[in-house]
Amino acid sequence: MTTTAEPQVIRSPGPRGIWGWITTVDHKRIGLLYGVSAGVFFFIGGLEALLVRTQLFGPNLEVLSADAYNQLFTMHGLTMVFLVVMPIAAAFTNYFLPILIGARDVAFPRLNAFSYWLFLFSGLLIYSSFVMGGSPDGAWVGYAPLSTQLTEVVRMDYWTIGLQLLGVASIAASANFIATVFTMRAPGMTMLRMPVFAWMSLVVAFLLIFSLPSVAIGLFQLFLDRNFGGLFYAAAAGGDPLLWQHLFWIFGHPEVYVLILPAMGIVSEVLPTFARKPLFGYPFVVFSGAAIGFIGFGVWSHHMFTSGMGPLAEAGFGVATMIIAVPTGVKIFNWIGTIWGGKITFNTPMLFSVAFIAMFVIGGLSGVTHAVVPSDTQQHDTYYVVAHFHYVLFGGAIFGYVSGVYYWFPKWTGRVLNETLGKIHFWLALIGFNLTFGPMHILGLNGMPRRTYRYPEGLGWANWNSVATIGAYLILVAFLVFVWNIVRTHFLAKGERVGNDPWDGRTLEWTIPSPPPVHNFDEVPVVHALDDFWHQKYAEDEEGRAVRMPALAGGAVTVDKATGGGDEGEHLDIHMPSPSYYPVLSSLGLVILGAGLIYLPWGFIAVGVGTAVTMWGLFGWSLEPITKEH
Amino acid sequence: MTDAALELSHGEHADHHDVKPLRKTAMWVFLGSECVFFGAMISTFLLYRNSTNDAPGVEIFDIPFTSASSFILLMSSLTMVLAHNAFENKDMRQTRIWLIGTALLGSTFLAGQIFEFTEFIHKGLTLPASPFGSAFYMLTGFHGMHVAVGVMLLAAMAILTLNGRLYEDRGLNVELVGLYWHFVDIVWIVIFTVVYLLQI
Amino acid sequence: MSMTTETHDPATNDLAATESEAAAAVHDEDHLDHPTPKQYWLIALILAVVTAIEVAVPYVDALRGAPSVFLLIFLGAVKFAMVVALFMHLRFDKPLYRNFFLVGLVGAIAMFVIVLLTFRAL
Repeated sequence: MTTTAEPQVIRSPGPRGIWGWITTVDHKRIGLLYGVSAGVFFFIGGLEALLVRTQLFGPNLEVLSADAYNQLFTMHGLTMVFLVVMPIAAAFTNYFLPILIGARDVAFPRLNAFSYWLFLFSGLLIYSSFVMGGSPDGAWVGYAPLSTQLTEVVRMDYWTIGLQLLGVASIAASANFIATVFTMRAPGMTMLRMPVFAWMSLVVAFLLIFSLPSVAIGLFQLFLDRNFGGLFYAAAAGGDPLLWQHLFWIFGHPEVYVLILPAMGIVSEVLPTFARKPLFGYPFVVFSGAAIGFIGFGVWSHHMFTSGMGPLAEAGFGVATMIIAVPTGVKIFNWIGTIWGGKITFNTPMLFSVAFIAMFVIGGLSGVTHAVVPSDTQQHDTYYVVAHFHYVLFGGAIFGYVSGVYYWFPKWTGRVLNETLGKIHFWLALIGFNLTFGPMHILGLNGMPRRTYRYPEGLGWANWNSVATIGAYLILVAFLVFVWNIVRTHFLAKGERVGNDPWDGRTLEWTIPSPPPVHNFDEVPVVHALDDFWHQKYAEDEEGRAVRMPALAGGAVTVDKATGGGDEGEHLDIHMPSPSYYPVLSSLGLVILGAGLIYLPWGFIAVGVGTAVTMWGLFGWSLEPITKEH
Repeated sequence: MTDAALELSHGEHADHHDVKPLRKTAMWVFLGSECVFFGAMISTFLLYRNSTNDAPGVEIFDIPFTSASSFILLMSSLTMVLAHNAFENKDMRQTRIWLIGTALLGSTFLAGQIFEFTEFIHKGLTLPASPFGSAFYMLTGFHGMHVAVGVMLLAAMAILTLNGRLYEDRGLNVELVGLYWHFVDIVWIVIFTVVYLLQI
Repeated sequence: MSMTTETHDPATNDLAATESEAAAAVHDEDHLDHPTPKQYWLIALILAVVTAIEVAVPYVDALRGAPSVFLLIFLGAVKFAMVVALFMHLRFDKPLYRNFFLVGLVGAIAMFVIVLLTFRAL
């Protein structure tokens, strides 16, 4: 990138080392923090799954007690949904949303940091339950009246309070990203020139901010039922447990689109790059994503088809659920159209993205069978459901995010992950995953129920369960290969070094160095088209083939720059926001408050302390200047 | 376009540029989500309106009393908007007066709520008495908490108007607090109608 | 740089603005970006009157049942809309803010009406 003068980046001499990471407000660092945390939780959640699968290897095994089993599968679900997939999506959104729209950071950098620390501390709070008498054991969905019982044991209070705090973190992040997209796009970056990943991040932010309040109320009511004699879900006293299901799933269904849409966004970035073709039908992909988000608010009771709502409600939600398959299908066809006739490189990121399409289609098909109310009535609470959601969430979402890791690793670190190891990871993961979850369709249709710690002999379930367990161990091996690749490439510095644009990409992140400087862009880019960077590099000949533009001096490509507030080409004073400890302080205060609520009544001390710390944090935060002078 | 666009790209980092669009955007989307928050509680109340068990039901309400406190909260929106108006005119003294007025009206509302609740508890309507009681206290309790937080914000801003520490892009922006305050007021408009006045 | 250009004529700062301005500005969104203080007082007066009517409704036997329900919802909605549009300035602001708010409001109403219908509580 040629600039006529080095820009002056003005920021306070930031703290170095650990304190630098703790007080960071840089979206890229926050993204990396989310990513690493999610990776660690993925390993833990995976171990929980392995223990579950080991117990189920054969009939009537006694590897785990029923109590331990309940805790493990509950924590597995909770971990994977809230502490892995959501934070991974947050990691990618944090790192790339500002860069993809040509901004230097998000709208509220300190709020961004706050969301991360609140997520981490809440996750740690929930996990501390393992050593504090036992973890939540009422399934990740916490249905009343199971969750309102046994109030002398605080396990489900960890669940209630922990989820509540995580929700606050997500709401804050969503407001942040929405404000960012609507106010901070670079000149010329109209909404319909934003990369699909940026669009999906935006839709997800809307999904979260409008769905979380419902479960927040559900959770508060659950907390009151458990601790203050509330009667919201107490059937004997005139309450209704079904109210919990509504309040939960009004959040829970949009939540699954929160999990998948960013991965779909990543796939929409990866496929064009490695097929060397623009995304087929960009407006359709964008509008389908928005449509999925919108319709996603109207289908929640398809999780409740066996709860006795009556045929009218069931028919309505069934039809709405089928309708949602349409925009999803549109995206699938557009992805296929993107690859079709392209000049394809089947490297690791591409392999994972292509596998995403295949695995997600399988999961989507079982989902369509769920939309049919009578068949869902048979499938509900069986392993068929487990198969469905693992195909969309693991074969779908996780594969998509892994594709993103391989794709963007060079941008984060300046080194590309090893291809051989990557391919080994891919094939082990694909085979292991299908071995684990494929048979579950059969198990489910043969009547094996979910959430039971053992099954008897003679029902014909043992063989497929054994296959599934073997597959699960294969997934572990695949994951270890992946971790080794990352360690070797970056931490042992053995990976091949690359520059700004190792993949000959199309979007703005490939115009800046790898890794990027703190201020992202030396000069704010001016955007003229979708995939603007591609058009800077390539023109088209008469047959529509890409023709490389002559490179400028030094082999660099100049991206058209906005003029500074003054002399063109002279140095721009770039004020980056200063680091701050108020976000971490405020989030710590909230978690202390939460911990106190779990252990009422003597927890009131912690509630008081937590409130005081939070107030201190929030007041300090609002009175502190965004960029400190020195 | 360029200057405006550069404005857009600076966001919160630029002290001397306007952070209002960012904050207003975030505040309005947050208020949209608060509609779902209170909507969930209001519909829970509607669901349990008649689940009174042996405890009092809607007959316990003192409509004249609650009307008075509703009126007070409604008028606090007026004082709030006058405070904002004074702030836009850079009249810190007027701003402070109206902010304190709003906080006082809000506190009076809260005092009314607390009085009302103690009356109800004496008459047997408690949170554990019935689903109606649970839903009632949850809804009005959360609303009251929102009012209390609002009063704190107003007081904090009133203090900041001293010594000229409350300037446009400083944390507690008068307009934003105003939006929050008005929202708390309109939630009460809905609660007052649905809980107290409606006879279904 | 503000998104709305706010014109402040010092003469209209105080409460002595003319009656005609008060009447006109409430309905005329092209001329004024802000109601004046006098207009704010007028709006508050209207809100108070509507509240008084609302409070009277439960005491009017003739309206018992469905009529009172519709009337109360209507009056409540009027107050709600006035505060949102005028005090919260939404009428004069970017459509984006109104859209965010409406999505939340309409979405909440739609979802929870459906919930209550499944409980046959509506």
